[in-house]
Amino acid sequence: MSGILAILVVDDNPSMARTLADILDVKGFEVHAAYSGAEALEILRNQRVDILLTDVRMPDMNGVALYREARKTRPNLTTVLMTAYAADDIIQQGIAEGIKTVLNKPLDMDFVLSLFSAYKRLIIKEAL
Amino acid sequence: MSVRTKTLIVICLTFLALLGILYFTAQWFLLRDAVVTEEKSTTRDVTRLLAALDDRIAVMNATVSDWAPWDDTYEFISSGDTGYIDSNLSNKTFTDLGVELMLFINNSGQIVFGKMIDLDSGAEIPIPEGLYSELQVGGRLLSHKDPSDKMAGILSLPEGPMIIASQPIVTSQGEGPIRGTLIMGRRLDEVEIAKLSQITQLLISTFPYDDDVLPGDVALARNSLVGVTPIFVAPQSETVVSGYTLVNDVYGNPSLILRVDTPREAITQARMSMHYLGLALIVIGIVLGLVTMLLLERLVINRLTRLNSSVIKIGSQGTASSRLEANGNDEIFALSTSVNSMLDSLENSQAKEHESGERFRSLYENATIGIYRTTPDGHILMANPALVSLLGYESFEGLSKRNLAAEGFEPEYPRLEFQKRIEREGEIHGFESAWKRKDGSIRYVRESARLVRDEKDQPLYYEGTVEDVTEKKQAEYALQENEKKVRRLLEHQVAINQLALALGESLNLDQVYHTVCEHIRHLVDVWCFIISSYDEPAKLIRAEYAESDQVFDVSGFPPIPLGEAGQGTQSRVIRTGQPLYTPDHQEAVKDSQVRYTIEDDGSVHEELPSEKEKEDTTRSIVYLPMKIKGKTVGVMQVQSCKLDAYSEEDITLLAGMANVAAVATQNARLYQDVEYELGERKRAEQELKEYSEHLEEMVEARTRALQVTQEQLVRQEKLAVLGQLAGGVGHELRNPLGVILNAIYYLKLVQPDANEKIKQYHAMIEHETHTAEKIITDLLDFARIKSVDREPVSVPELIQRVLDRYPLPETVLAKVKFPASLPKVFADPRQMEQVLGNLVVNAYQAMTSNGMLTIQAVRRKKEIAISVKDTGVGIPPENMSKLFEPLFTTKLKGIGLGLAVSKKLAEANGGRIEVQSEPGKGSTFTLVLSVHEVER
Repeated sequence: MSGILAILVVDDNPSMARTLADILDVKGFEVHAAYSGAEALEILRNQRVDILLTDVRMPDMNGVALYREARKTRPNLTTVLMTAYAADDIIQQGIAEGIKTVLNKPLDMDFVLSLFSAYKRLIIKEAL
Repeated sequence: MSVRTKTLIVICLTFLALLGILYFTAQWFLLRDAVVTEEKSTTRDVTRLLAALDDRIAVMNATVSDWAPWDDTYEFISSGDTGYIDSNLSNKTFTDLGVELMLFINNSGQIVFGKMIDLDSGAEIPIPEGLYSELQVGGRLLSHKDPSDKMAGILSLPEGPMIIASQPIVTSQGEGPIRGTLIMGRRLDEVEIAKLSQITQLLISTFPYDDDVLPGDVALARNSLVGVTPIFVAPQSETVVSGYTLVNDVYGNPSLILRVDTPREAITQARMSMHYLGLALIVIGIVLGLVTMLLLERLVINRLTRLNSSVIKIGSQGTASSRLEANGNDEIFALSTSVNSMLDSLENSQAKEHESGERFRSLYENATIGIYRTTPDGHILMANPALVSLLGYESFEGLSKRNLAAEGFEPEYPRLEFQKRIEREGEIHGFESAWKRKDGSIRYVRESARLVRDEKDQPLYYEGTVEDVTEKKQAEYALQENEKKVRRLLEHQVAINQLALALGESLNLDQVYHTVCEHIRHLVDVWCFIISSYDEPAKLIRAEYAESDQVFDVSGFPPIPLGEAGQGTQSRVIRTGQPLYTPDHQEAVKDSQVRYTIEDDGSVHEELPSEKEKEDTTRSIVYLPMKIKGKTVGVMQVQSCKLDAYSEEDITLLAGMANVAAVATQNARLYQDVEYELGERKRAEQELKEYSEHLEEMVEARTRALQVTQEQLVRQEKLAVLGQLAGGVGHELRNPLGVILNAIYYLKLVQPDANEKIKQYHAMIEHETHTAEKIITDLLDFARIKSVDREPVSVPELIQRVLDRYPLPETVLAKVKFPASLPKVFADPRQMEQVLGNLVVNAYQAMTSNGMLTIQAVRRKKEIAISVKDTGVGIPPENMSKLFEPLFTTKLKGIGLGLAVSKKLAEANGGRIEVQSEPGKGSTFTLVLSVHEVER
């Protein structure tokens, strides 16, 4: 545990993924950005990722499906969904299956950052 | 004509003109000078000649001066001593002295001695005869006034002119008396002239003055010399100029014309100079011309040609990316540089054009509405992906095979009307029609197009956009259908109501039946109307009433026993209590149409119904149960000669009327029964009255309920359409808004020290994006009520949360009032917070200056009323009815969904919002909610 949290941001809108990644980067997180579920899985295979922050609706794979796929190799991966659609059955399923939080778009970045700081404490505690 | 040729011509012409001017000017000056010089020099020559001639005469005179005043001569003239002659007058003396003639004449005119010698040969020649005539005593030659009187000059003699000197013979001391005259002379002949020529170095000719046959020029000169002009100069020829002068003889008469011929050196020199000058000018001209041409060629034409070919090359390439080679720092370099900078801007603008083309292409490709271009004869030239997919094609190629004129999007696409309108008006906006897709399904579209014409004003093609309005159409259609349905229901209810009212006044059975029949006739086609009653205890069906064009007596009709299940139409209606409809009775009973007639003779005839009979025969029959309190007490039949005369709605209506008829029938029957039993009459009347009242009340209540239902239906449908639209757009907008907010967050993060203005702009972007998001949230809230999660909610806590969330503006004071014990309401706390918050914010905004906000909660029976009262501007009465309509707003900002959403939320929570307002004094909005069940 290096003390720096690694976050994988996944959104099929590249601007969304990029701006999020840039903000998290400036805030001292190690950030990876992916623009599709497949890309995200590729990164998950090769990189250390502590938190998966993913969009729900994506063309190749929705966020919950990505979570399910990721969980096969990373059972304890902290996963946060973000969505522009308040009510989505998929989201309910995801929460039932262990997804931590769902954030509504547009994201309240102050809130997101405090949330990740809290996760960081938790994750470090677990690692210890 | 090329620059080269032009320059050459101009140079040549200029040079020739210059040459001419220079040449002729020079010639004029030079020649004039030369002529003057020539004249001067000739005059000088002639003067010199005259001087030489005078010199000769002077020499002659001097010689005579040696001889005449001499004592020997003085002696000799008197004595005639031959010794003098021998010693002094030998031939040698003559030649030594250069004298040809000597004459010693005494005072008496006698020639003492006279001799003439030819100087060339030295021989003695005779004295010219003409001389003797001159030697007269007293003549000028012989008469001398005193010893010093001398005379010398030219003497013209017939034999030729002579130089003569004559002096008196005196003593050596020059004293007289004069004893005679000594004359010496010599001929002015060719020899003498040659001598003069030699002395003067001039070519000399002499002419006698009075010669009649003088050469032409001499004659001319003689005439000119007559005046005062001593010397006359005239050119003899191109090379020779002649000077003339007149020589007078000793008597002062003109005797000789002397001519001096000199070569015209000045003129010739001038001419030569002119030739050299001309030659030099030509050479200079040629050299200058060549240098100019060379310079022009090298500095201008070659480079221009290169420049031109480069420009042509660039032009033929068609791109502005090449550049001209540019060097030097002259005008051509400047031209190249200008062309290059022009190419720069051209390339720039091409790039811009390309970029904007790309943008337009992207717009075209990604547009959500269809964009097309077609020819008037129906070929599809362009169609963007949205249109291709709208029409159900995989690609444009597939779509382009379709011809609009031949195939069109028929059956419902009125292309001819479209063409007629667009060619007449040039444009069409919002043309609505239905298009057939590839798979044959129909899409409703809204089309806007314009006509593009060529230079000859002929239609070239149509360009337009197509919007798929199928969903909207369907929604509209559904709405219309719904409205129709509601209207029909209402009409039905009114009809039933009217029937009930009409029947309320009638207690006669037949009257009741007839009234029912008449009312039904107003609504549907009736050929025959039959009512049967069902006697339940006896299980018999009895015909009660029949009316077609007249009322039939049915008392003779036998009752029919209730059939087993599945038997008999009326029986079935009585058993099931459901209406039964036979749309084509003839078809159902065609097997029993044949009639048999038995004649008197016992023969049997088969007889089919005639056409007339068929027309007058029942085709549609509807059987309707007459029910009271769910029990079927009879059957009402309505028949029509038309095929399938009754719709489902008709049947529903008739069923309602049948029930009303049942009640009325029962009433009438009861009344009839009561009439027989007087004792029970009053009760029956009472009962009837109650029924009637009940009926009216029932009908009124139902009408009211229906009206409310109708209004709700209409509004909900409208809102559903709006919601559908808003919901679709709102979600999609959240993503880009999210990106904008993230981006601005990032910028603020990485530029904490940005200047104040940038920070303000960051804040502006952030604030406005939040505002946009709020609008979207309102829209979405309006579009779709989130699931209502009701629970007991404490009203004071709710009010406190709202006030925490929406703090009071500085200009507003707040007052909160509620009773000590207030039951909880049963509602979704978050939604109620939103509703109440909305009312509070509205109140803040209504109070533009200082104001007082009063929030009060009171219990009203089973409800709690939470009122929000402001002292603001109030609401004008004309706006009161529109307050809760979506998109109605009087605020500058906001889209007018707040109250609409609040109302919807309140209603979804089983509550409502009430409003009171007085313009200028303020408004009170009251949220009314139900008390939680447990606490009722």
